[in-house]
Parts: sequence; C-alpha cells; structure tokens
Amino acid sequence: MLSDLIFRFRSLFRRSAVENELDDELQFHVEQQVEKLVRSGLTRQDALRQTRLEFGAMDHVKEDCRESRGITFLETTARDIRYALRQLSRTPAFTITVLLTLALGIGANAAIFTLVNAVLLKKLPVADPGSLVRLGDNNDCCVGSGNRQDGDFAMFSTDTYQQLKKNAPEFEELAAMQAGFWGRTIIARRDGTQVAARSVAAEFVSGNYFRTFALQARAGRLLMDADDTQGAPTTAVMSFEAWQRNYAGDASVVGSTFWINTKPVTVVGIVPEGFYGDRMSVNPAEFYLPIEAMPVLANSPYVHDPEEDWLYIIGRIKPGVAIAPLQKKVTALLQQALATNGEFSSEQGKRTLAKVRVVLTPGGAGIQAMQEWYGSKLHLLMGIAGLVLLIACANVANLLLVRGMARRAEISMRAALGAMRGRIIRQLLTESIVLAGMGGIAGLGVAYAGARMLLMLAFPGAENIPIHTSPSLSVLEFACGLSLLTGVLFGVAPAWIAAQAGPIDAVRNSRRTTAASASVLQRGLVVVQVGLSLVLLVVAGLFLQSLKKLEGTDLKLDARNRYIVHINPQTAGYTQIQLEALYRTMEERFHALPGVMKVGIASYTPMEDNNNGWGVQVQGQPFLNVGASVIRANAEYFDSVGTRVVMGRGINARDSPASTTVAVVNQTFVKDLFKPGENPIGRHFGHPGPDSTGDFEIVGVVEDTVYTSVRKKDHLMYFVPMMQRPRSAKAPIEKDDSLYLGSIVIATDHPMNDMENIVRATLAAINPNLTVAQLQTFNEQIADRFTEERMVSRLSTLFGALALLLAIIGLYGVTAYSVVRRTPEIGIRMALGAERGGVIAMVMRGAMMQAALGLAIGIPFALVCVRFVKSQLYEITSADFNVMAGAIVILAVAVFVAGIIPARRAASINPVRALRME
Amino acid sequence: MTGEHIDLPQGTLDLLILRALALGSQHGLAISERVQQLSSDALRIQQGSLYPALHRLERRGLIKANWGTSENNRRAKYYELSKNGRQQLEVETDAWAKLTAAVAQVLGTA
Repeated sequence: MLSDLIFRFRSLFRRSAVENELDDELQFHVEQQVEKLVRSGLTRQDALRQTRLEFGAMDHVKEDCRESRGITFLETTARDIRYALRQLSRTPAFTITVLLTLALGIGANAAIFTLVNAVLLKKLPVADPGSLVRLGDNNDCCVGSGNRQDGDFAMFSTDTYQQLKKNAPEFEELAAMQAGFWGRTIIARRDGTQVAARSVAAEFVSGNYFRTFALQARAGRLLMDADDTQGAPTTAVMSFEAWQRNYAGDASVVGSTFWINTKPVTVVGIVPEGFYGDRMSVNPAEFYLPIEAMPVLANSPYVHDPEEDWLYIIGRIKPGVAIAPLQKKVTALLQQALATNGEFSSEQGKRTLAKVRVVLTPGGAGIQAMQEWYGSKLHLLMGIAGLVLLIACANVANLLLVRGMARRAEISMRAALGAMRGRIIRQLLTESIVLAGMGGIAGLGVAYAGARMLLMLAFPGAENIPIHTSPSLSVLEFACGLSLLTGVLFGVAPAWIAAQAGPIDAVRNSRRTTAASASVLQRGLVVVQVGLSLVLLVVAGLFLQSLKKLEGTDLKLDARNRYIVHINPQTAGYTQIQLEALYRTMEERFHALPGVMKVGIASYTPMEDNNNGWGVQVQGQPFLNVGASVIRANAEYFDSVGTRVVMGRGINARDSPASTTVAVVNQTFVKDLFKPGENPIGRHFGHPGPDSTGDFEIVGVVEDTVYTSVRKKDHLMYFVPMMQRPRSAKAPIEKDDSLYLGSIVIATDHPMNDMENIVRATLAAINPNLTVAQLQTFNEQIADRFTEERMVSRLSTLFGALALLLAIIGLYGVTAYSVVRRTPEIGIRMALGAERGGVIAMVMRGAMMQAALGLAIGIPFALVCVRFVKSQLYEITSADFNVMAGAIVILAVAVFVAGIIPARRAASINPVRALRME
Repeated sequence: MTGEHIDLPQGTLDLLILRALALGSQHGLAISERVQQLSSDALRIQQGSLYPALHRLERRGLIKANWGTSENNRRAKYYELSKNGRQQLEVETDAWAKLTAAVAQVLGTA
C-alpha cells in the first residue's frame, strides 16, 4: 500500500525523470529489435518499419504505461490545481474577497469551536476518565447545612463522606474535595527566602484524591492516606504550573518547608504537568493539602462538624458496576447518615429526609460548574457564528456563480474544442475546493487569533487558566471539514450551471445570452443573506440593550474613588479573640492616610461573588420559609459603599460585643416580612426557632444596595455590628469563623494611583502575614460582574457587523454583475432617450426589491430567534420596536450604498460605446 | 514469424513474464524472446502490451527495475523478481496447473 503510494508519487513529482526513463526503455527495445532484424537480413528501413508495425502506436503504448503506473488521476488533479491557481491569480479581487469571506466565516466558527472544545468537551487529564462518577448533579457551594434545594444533594459533610467510603465497595476509590476553594485563599511563603508571603489558591482534598485519579507525581510523591490523618505532620503537594512559574522547576522545592497560614508545611511532591485539579477554574489551586490539615491551617470549625456540608465527592467505580442500583444505594446511605442530623430528626425533618437523594453523574470532566456557567453562552455564540458562516457560504456561492457566468465564453470554447462536460465540472470543482482549502487555512489563522481574543474577553486577567487556544486536532478537522464542505456544496451549483454552456454559445456572442436560472438563484441567495443579517443585527441589538440595562441599573451605591481590598485575617494567624483589636487598628491606620475619608470593614461587599444566607424568622411571626443574607460591618461601612440609611440609624461605634445585639435591615427585608405601614424599628428577629428569634433588634433600615448580581431580585439582607454575636449562639467564640471579615472598603477624596502599594505597606506594618488577596477599585469590581454579558454583547455586535458586511458584498456583487451584463440593454435604453435618473432608479429597484424580500423573511425569523436568546437577556422578553427599527434602518442604508455604486456606473454608460460592444 | 501463434488468454501475460524472470533478470525485449523460446515459438507477446504489463507489475511490487548495461554495452532497464513476485509466481503456477488439469479433464470426458 505504502510502496504503491510512493511509486505513484514518484511518477507524479519526478514526472520528467519517469518520462525520460520510459522513452529510453522503449527506444532501447526498438533499436535492439531493429538490429536483430537487420542481422536476419532485412534492410534497416524495412526492419524499422516492421518493428513499428509490431509495436503499434508508440504514444498509445506510453499512455498505457503511464496508466499502469497510476499517474493519470493524480496528474490530472495536480494539473487542475495548477490551472485553478493560475485562474485565481488572474482575478485577485474575486479571489481575495472569497478568501476573506471564507477565512472570517470559518475562522469565527473554528474560534468558538476551539473554546467549546477546550471548555465543554475537555475531560480531566487522568487515566480512564470514563469510570469516574460524581456524587451529585448540582453545583451547590461552598459551606452549608440542612436540606438542599428539593433534597438534591451534591455537597457532603466529612462524616457522610467517611460513611459512604466505608459502605460503598462498588467504588474502587472515593475521593472528597473542598467545594469552594477559590474564595478561600491561603497565605504561603517558602522558608528561608526573603520573598513576601502571597495569597494563593489551595484545595483541601482527601488522602486518596490523587490515587482516585490514578496520577503519578512529577517529582517527590503525591498525598497518601497517611497524610490525611489527625496529628500527622502537615504535608502538601504543589501544582506543576506553580512550581514552574514561581520556582522555575527547582528540584529542592520538594522536601522543603513552606509557611502556609503561618504554620510550617512540608511540600512532599509535585503534581504531574497538565493536571489542573478536579475542575476547570480561572485560578487553579497551587497547593493541594489533606483535609485533616484544614483545622490546623485554616482553623475551620466545619471540617469535623457532621452537620456542615462542604465536600464534593468523585469516585472511580469498579468495572461492571451498574449506575442505577449504585445511585439507590448511595441515596440510602446518605439518608442513613443524615438521620442523626439535628435538622432531620424532627417530625417534619423526617418527611424531608425521605426526599433526600443523590444523583450520580459522569465525573470524567470533574466538577463542571464552569462548563455549566459558560455552556449556554458558548452554545449561543456557536449558533450566531453558524449563521455568519451560512451568510459567508451564500456569499461565496454567489461570487462563484458570478464568476461562472463571466467565464461562460471560455467554458463554451473549451466545450467546442472537445472538452467533456464531466471534465469541465471537475475542473471548476477543483477550483472551488482549492479556494475553500486556502480559505480554510486562512480561517485557522483567524481561529487562533479569535480564540485568544475570546479567552481574553471571557476571562479577563486570568493568566493561569487551564484553557489552551492553540487549535487541537479536532479543531483542525472541524475547520478542514467545514471548508471542504463549503467548497463542494457551493462549487457544485455554479460548476453545473457553467457547464450547461453548449459549444454553440462560443460561436454566438455570449454576452447576449441570459441565464435566468442563475439569476434567480443569485437573487435568492442575496435575499437569504439580507434576511439572516437582519436576524443577527436584531440579536446584537438586543444584547447591547440588555447590557445597557444591566450596567445602567441603579445599584444604590457610590463607587467613586472607592477601593476594595480583600484580606483573610484567619490565614494570617489571628484568633477570634484578637480580631476586635485588629479591626480597630486597621480603621486607625487607614484613616491616618492622607486623602482617606471613610474606612469600611465587612464580611463582603456589594457586587462581588460572595454570599452568606440563612433562614430568618421575625419574633411573634411563624417561620415564613424566608432566607436573608447577613453581613458583619463596622460603623463606617454604609458610608464607604454609599448605602443610604432611610429609617432609624446605621451601625455605630458604640455597638460593641457587650451592648445590645442589633441589626440594620434593607427595604426588601421590611417589605417582605412586615405589613405595609408597620414600623420595623424595635422589632426582633433571628434564625428560625424559639430560642433565636429574639436575637437581633432592628434599629435601622437601609436602601436595597445590589449585592451578588443585578439579576438577583428581592434580596433580603441584614447587617450586624462586626463583633456582636447573637445571644442564642451556643458555640464558643473560638468556633465562630463568621467573625473573620475579608473586605476593607476605602473611600478617598480623590483617585489614588498607587493605592495598591499604600495598602500593602499599611497592612504589612500591622502584620506581615496580612497579605492582599485582591485589590480593585469599586468600579472594576462592579465591571467584573458583567464580563460574560459584555463578551456576548461584543461578540454578537461583531458578528452582526460581519454579517452586514458580507451581505453588502453579496448585494454589490450581484448588482454590479447585472449592470455589466445589461450594459448593451442599458445602452439601447439610453440611446432611445432614457434619463440617467431613470437608469439609476431601475438598477436600485432591483437591489431594493431583494432587500425588501430579505427583510420580509428576516423579520418573522428574527422574532422567532428572540425566543431562543431570551433566557440570556436581562429584562428583555421580545424584540422591541427600537431594536427592530434600528436594525432595519442600518440594513436599508447598507443596501442603498451597495446598490448606488453600480447604479451610478450604469447611468454613466456611454450609449455609443455600449452598442459598439455588441 | 514462422509457425502457428496462439493468442494469449486473458491474464496469462503477467504469469508468463514472472516465469520468464524466474530464470534471472532481463530487459523487456529479452523477456518476450525468452517466452517465445520457452514455448517453442508457440507464444508471442504483443510488443504493445508488454511494457504496460511490466510497469503494472512494478507498481504492484512483484518485480523490481534497475538500469544496467546490455550485452552490446547499451543502457537498458532490467527487471527482476521481487520476493513477493516469487511467491506470486508459485501461487499462480499452482492455480494455473489446477485450472488446466480441470479444463483438460472436462474436455477429455466430454
């Protein structure tokens, strides 16, 4: 097989050598034969004649030999390709237009597909991902207790995990991992270096985590069960990327001591290259630590609390284990584990316990939170890009048709000279496939650049994201397949039509022949293009409007000259007892800085990805099954973020741990829990239950500043003084990690460029372990919440513009071509007295007619499409009049421009010259 | 030029060429002469079909071609059997023997 191919290729590429050899060989034969005959007594002339007679036609023999060598098919193709390239280079404007159209169409699709492939289709880089199973089908996060939404569990307590591991032998290995590690960074510093401590992402995992994924250490060893036991020396492994980036792959890192959250930890090994953890994340973990190290390092009280769920579980099932019965068993085991849980022991709790369940899902891609988050958006973009490709294809088909028409004369001539129709079609098809192939290659370039741009739009500032934009094999296949399909699909029709040219056309003047069928096809393609462009413009307009609405929402806060600093006093080694002093010191030090007006300290701030919600019950009311978010805050917090107090008072400095426990609630809280006109001030509320409903006395009401997301409506919130603990709290203060406040808001009287350095220095002066996890202006933090919306809006605008451009090129091409074809006719009209204006109107009528038809098709189609994107839009449920009208006006103007240029050219035709062309 | 010539049945040309080459490498003309000689002049290969057949066999890897020098010091293309060709010859010879025997039997009993 291979030798056959090599043989054929030698025949093809060393054509002259092979030809010469053939000549020599046959020549030798003839001469020998002649000599033999001469020896037997014939004259040389007779001998030659007889030899030739015996041999037959020499060219025929040679052709037979060539065919035997398998030259013909490849050679014809090579010849066709050379011819196609020559033809294409003779019409550079056409070629470049088609290539650009294809490159943009294919490139846009391949770029999106690159991302889809890298984000949605990617499996974890571990052995046999197919046998991994995740326990749970939702992405609840990060620490919680009690019943889940409709009893569907995906997060578990350490206790439950241990029981599942012990009682489900169907799993070869069952690993547990911290559900929400990205918001809980650690502070790490290598021992014996002067490099400052850094806040980095770290994930606490079970001892068999790496064994479950069947990974081998890149250096040293990975975590083992022995590391994950109480009292074991604290160990960690480092990610390959962090090892390379921060320590240049220094082998001495393995075995060295790191100070993690101020405690010594031995790094025992490096994770294999490419392993980015159990989930795709913008900021993958740099350290993996055993679960049992968490109470030591992070002082987290929930690790050994059987009622606190904080772990995800992924297991590797044994071969041949069926999922359905296993799911039933795991559900039963979970119910068993929860039965002893306080919340499920009451009568009502027992009823909810019956509804508790675990759904087993494929775990080969790990925890798919990010995939779910971006999936709908990527699919939407894929749809939009697909429409653009459709328009691009219509354009290419149109241009090929026009070209086919223009070459009728040439093709008729070739037919007249004896070329077979099949051969002509094959040649024209080769041309379009060559074109498509080149377009595909150019498209790959566009795809590479486009995917990088997409990545930057989708994840701004994410340097360590484990998504690679270099086109993978499947992307290459995708692009090549797509371009070949385009080439064949849109090459066949023009080739067929062009090949209809009879030889007689060559004799006639081809200029006069009309190709009505092609013309209808061309106009039809333009109509489709206009219609699709309208759809894309409308979609783009809707996303633009949606983004404007989102960004234009009154967040009821003041972001001017505000800086938000995220820290973690817990990882800096502070105990709960020391916190009050720390907060006072921070207030003082920051206030002492010139230009600082207000210093707010709080659990979290408006418009960030953090939330802490609990059930609440007003004293004297039944529990209405209502939850509210709680924030601990200092006296200046409301002023620092610009939240206005509308009733009563805010939190003040006199609200100390010793004074009455008070709370400030937001307006939604009042609206939802009190009757209209009822005065909430002085009323009490707390967690549901007779002991706790009197915990907080309402002393004030604030406006509904937006937290978490603009899309989150009816957000009940209450704010409590930073160090006050509810009276009913039974756990000692040492167990209350809600006292650790992670956000500082600094309001200044003017913009300060070197805020980062000032903040770092100020915090380091208090304690060198107080590192900055993140520092942004308030505006940056808010803008981050709109990243995805902005990406979708920008891309849909880009694609809309692209579609419009392609449609214009298509319309221009068809109009210009029809003007050229009708030149003699227009000449006659003008010779007979037609006005310039009349000619322009005639040409424009044709163009506008197509546009109007396109709009007529596009408008209902656009209305249907809105349904598909509705879920992605904010407070927009239908294509509103402004967007629709705007899109139509833009299209109309574009169509006008595309039509007027050839129309004016038609009007400037010189009748005499036009008639002479006959 | 003398004697009776038999038309070659379809597909036997390749077999004859392989057989002729089994005796050693030869150029095209010598192959046709050898076939003629081995068949006591009964078989003659059409010159026009000899070379396409040689090129076909070369492509199939049954024979190999080398440029050498002829008896009268001319550059000539010599063909020889490849390992595959030798095997193919055995297989085909066997098949041919069975075929002719069977045909003869049918004709004899008819």
